Amino acid sequence: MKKLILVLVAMLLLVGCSSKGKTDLDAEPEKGLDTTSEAETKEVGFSFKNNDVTINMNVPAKETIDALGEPMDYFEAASCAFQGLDKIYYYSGFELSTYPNKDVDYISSVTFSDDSVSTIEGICLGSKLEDVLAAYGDDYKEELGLYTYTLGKTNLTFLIEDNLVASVNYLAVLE
Amino acid sequence: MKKKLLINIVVVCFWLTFLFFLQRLLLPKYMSEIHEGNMTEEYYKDKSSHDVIFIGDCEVFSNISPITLWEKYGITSYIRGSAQQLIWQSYYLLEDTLRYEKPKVVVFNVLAMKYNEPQKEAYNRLTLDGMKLSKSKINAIKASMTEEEALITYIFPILRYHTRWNELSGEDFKYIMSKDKITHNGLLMRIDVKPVTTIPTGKKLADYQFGENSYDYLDRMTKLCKENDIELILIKSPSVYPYWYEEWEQQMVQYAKDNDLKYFNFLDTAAEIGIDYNEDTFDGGLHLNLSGAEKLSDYFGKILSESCQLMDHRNDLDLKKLWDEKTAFYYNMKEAQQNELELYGYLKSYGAKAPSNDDTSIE
Repeated sequence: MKKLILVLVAMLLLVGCSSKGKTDLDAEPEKGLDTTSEAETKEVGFSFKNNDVTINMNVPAKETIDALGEPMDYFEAASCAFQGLDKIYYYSGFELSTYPNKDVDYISSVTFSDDSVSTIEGICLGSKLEDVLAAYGDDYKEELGLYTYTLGKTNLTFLIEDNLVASVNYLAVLE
Repeated sequence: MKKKLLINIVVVCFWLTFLFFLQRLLLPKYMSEIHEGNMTEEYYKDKSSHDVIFIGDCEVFSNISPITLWEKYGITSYIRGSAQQLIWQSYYLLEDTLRYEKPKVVVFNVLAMKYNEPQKEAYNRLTLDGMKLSKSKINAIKASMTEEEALITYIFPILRYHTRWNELSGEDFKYIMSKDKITHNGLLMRIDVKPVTTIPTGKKLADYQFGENSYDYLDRMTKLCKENDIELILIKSPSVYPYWYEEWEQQMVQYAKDNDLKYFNFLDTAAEIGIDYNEDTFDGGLHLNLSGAEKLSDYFGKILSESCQLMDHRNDLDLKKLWDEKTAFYYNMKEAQQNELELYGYLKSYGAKAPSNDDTSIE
C-alpha cells in the first residue's frame, strides 16, 4: 500500500512535467519567439528595404512601423478566444503583418501588393523565374510553383505562374 | 486481514477523492476571461432535445442566435461550437452529440476546411477538455494532438495543469464544482460594435485545394448524418475575414452538388440578410455581434423552417416553458451588457479588451 501511494505521488510530480513548464493556456498561444541576446546576434535572414527603412522579420515591430510613417490603411484581426491582435499595415506597394507575443508586436510577414516595390536583390511582381534563380540560387524548396528560400529566421517565397512571379512574401519562421 | 484490506480501500478512496478535487481545482475555469473554454461542457447541462445542431468554429457560436430561431420560428437548436474548432473536432463532437439526441438537421460552417492538420494545443484544450470521456473524445484528441502533446494529459488533465498551482485565484475555488451558465444554447453573446473599416484581400496561394484530411472528415460527417437520417447543411458564415477564396467556394459548391447537400454562402447574401457591417459586427467583420446574429438567424430560420419542414414548437407547453426561461436569460444578459457598455465603454466582463486611445469601438 505504501508503495502504491509513493507511486501515485511520483506520477504527479514527474508525469506531465515538460520542458515547457507553465501551461500559459490562458494567454496567446506561444509563437516560440526566441528573444535572448544570443538570438539577436544570429543572422536575421532576408531583409526587405523600403526607401531607407530596413524591415526584418521576427523583430519588434514598433520601431519599423514608426520609421515607415503613417500607413495607407490598417486592419486588425483578434485571435479567436485569446487576447492579442494580428495586425496588417498597408503601405504603397506592400503590406506588413505583425503578431503579438507577450504584449509586444513582432513582424511576421511582408507581402508585395504591386510591382512598385522589389526585393533588395531586384525581384518584383512580374519578374521572370530565371531572374529569381539568378538572384537567389538553387538552394530552394519548390512545391506547386511556390519557391521557398530560407535564411536565418526568414522564409522568402516566390509564387511562380506562367514563368512569372505572381507573389512575393517575406515570412518569419515561427518555432 | 479484513481490517487491513478495509484500511487499504479507505486509503485508496481517500487519494482518489483528493486527486479528483485537486484536478477540479487546477483546471482553468474560464469564467472571468476566455469564456470559450466552457462552451463544450455547457452542452451537457441542457437535457432537452434540439431539432437543429450547429457545429463549427466561432463563425457559428458568434453568428447564430438560437433564441431568435425559437422566437421567430419555434425551432429548437443548439450550437456545439468552439474557438477554432477543426473539422475532425466537429465530426467527433457530432458523434458525441448523437449519444444524447438525434436532431433533424445538422449545420456545419465550412471555414474549418482550410485547416488540414492539427494547429495549436491552446485551442485543442478549449474544445476538447470539456468533452465527456468517450470513444469520440479519445478519437478527437488523437486527431487533434500536436507533436508535443500526450493523450494521457487529456484523460487526466491534472497532468497538464498541475503547474497552475501558483496561478490559482478566487475563481478557481469559487467554481471548483460548478460554473455559471454563459452561453445561450451555445451562442456567446456580444452586443458591442466595431465597424468594418478595411477588408483584407486574400493572398495568392500556391494551392487552393482543401486537404485530404479535411475532405475525409467532411465525408465522414456526410455519411454519419445519412446513416442517422439527419439532413446535413453546409454554410459559410458572413464573416469578412479570414478571406474566403472563390476557389474554396467552388469546391464547396461542387461537394454539396456531388453529395446532394444544401450549401448556403451567407457572404453572398449579406445585403439581402440585412447585415450592415457598420453596425452588426463587434470586431471589424470577423464575427457578427448580437444584432447581426439575430438578422442572420431570422433569414436562415425561414430557410430551415420551410425547406427542412421543421416543426414550430411554440405551442408545446413544456418546451415553451423551457425556452421562456432561456429567452429571459438572453434578454437579461443583453441588458447587463448594455449597462456594462454604458459604465465602462467596453464589455469588461464578456471578453472584450479595453479600448486604446485610437480604438474605433463604439456602442
